[in-house]
Amino acid sequence: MKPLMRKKKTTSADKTKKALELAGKLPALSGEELPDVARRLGVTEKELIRLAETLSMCGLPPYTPDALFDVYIDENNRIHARSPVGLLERPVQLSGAEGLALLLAGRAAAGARTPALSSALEKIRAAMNPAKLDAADRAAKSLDIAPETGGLDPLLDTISSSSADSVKLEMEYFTPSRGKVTSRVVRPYGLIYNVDRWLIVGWCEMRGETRVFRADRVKSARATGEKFKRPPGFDLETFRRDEMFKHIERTIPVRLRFSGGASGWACGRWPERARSDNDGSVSVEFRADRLENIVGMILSLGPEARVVSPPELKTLVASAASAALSLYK
Amino acid sequence: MKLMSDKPESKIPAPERLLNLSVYLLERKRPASLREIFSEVEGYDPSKDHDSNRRMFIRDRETLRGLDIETLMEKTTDPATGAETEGYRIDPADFYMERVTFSDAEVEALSRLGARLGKTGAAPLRELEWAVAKAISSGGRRSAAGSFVETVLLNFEPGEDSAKVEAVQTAISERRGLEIKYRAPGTQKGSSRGVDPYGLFLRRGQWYVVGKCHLRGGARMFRLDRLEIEGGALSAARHFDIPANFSLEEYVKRRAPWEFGDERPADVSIRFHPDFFWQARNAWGDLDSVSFDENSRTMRLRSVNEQALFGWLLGFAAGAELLSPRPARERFAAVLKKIIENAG
Repeated sequence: MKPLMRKKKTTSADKTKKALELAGKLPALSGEELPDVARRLGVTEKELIRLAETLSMCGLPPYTPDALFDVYIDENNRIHARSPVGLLERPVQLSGAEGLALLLAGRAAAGARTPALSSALEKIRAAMNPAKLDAADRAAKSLDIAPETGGLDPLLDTISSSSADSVKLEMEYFTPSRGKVTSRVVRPYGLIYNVDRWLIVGWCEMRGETRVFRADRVKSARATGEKFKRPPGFDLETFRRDEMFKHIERTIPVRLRFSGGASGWACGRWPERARSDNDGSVSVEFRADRLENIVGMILSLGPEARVVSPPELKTLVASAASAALSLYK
Repeated sequence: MKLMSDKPESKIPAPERLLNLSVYLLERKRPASLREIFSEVEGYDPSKDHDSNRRMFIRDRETLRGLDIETLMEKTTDPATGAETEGYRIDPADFYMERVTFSDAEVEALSRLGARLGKTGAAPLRELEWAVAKAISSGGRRSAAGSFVETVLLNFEPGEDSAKVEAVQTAISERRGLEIKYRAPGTQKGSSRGVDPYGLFLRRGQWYVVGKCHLRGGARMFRLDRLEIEGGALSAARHFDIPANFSLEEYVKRRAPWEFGDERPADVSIRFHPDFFWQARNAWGDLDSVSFDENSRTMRLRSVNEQALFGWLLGFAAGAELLSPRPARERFAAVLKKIIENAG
């Protein structure tokens, strides 16, 4: 992809903005690690060190050491800051962009159904500068990132509260590989909205392992009242990043080729696995545990998605399409 | 330690001068006269003539305004002459965030929000972690990151479009038109057009722009990955207003993929196998535009995006049958034939 815009030259206003941002965030960052602060500030570590140096040259008249900002990095690569007496001890007002981010995130996280979050966001709104709040509200009207819940609202409610309370669920679940609905007890560890769908992560007592269930394939879910113990150290984000796809893509190597609009979809779906071919198509290789589970996904991409291998998957896709076609004879 | 004599004052970089000026005006109880500013704030040169310092100050004030820092101009007395003159200060109430006291549960909820959503990479959430850290620290608290069990996680994976997302966001906030090249679904060649963006949203892993299309007229929707922004970012000439009756919320609320598009509306009827009927209802049962008949296991909908509808239906394989309209039914069968051919 061509770069959209040439990198702009850094102006003194940009530098001032970053230095002021850093100054205004001093109370919030003292003791944080340098790479993390740099990432959040949108600068490189080198630039951050330069900003800290700039800031250390500034302060109040008569510009004696006690009247200057004191920003330094300790041996553990953590940033520390001290400001001249009384100055910037509180964070500066939320900027319009920060207010906007909070409003949008609050809306997006409404699915998490946390009353404490709603009250915290209300307090922040009340503390915001009215003009900035107004600007953020206006900008938020033009932006939407909230995940869709569709007809799943009641189900997601049951699952998220069971998960928060560590209560087992009795779940009726449709397994495409068996083509039928089965009933099982699940210990729900959490809910993940992953790009375009809601997933339930939990220990399946029927299979004796941690499984990922698609919420839209749950016919019904009921809290049993029986408590369970979450495995110590289980972290949903770590699971999503390191385990989730590993778990479902295990033994059978699959190669798909995508053309046209589906190639963009494939790049978004498998950003690390998608390889561009010379003819503009995109190839993806992964491992599946059951070929039957991915037939629907492949079909839904239409003729722009082709199975390269294994041949059994080609056959499965062809026979599923033939079965569907028989309805139209 | 920095002494005034360390380097010639004219060499003091502008960012340092602007920072010194900001904290100086912030700390002033009484508005500072220009004479005081030029003689006390490091970065101005009291040996230079008043007018050139004044020009520099006017530019600095503009720069600060661009950074959301408002310097107030009020009357003050020049301590040297005793005469009334213009004075400047920054109001701490405007500058600082108010103290907010949060409960433990609120600190935890905010920390979760920042930790989980701030890293999604969605451009509009870039400042979220700062916002959360600032809010929490305004009450003298530290964020509770890492000390809680996460049970709901949102992962948007907004792809490579963040530069475009930012460009569109800027265009919306500055109300300036974009020149774009758009590749409509099923076409390879893009067509150029002007678009006044009214809104931007993320659905099912894709960003969409809604705005007035100068090629077709009226409000249209564009998928961000299908458009290229031409000639830099913003159209220099075209400023616009978002119509008062435009509501993004209404525009994107509860829509199925087949409802995003600009094709001629088609009333579609679909029959499901018993194992799939409830799945269709799980997905779209909340839509007013869709109806379900339990007895015949049929679903009725209105489609303006056949490709999206077919994609959804194909996922059910033989579990769903497109009953009507007949031309769509025939086209769907042709798609199935093509898939079989490809697999053969």
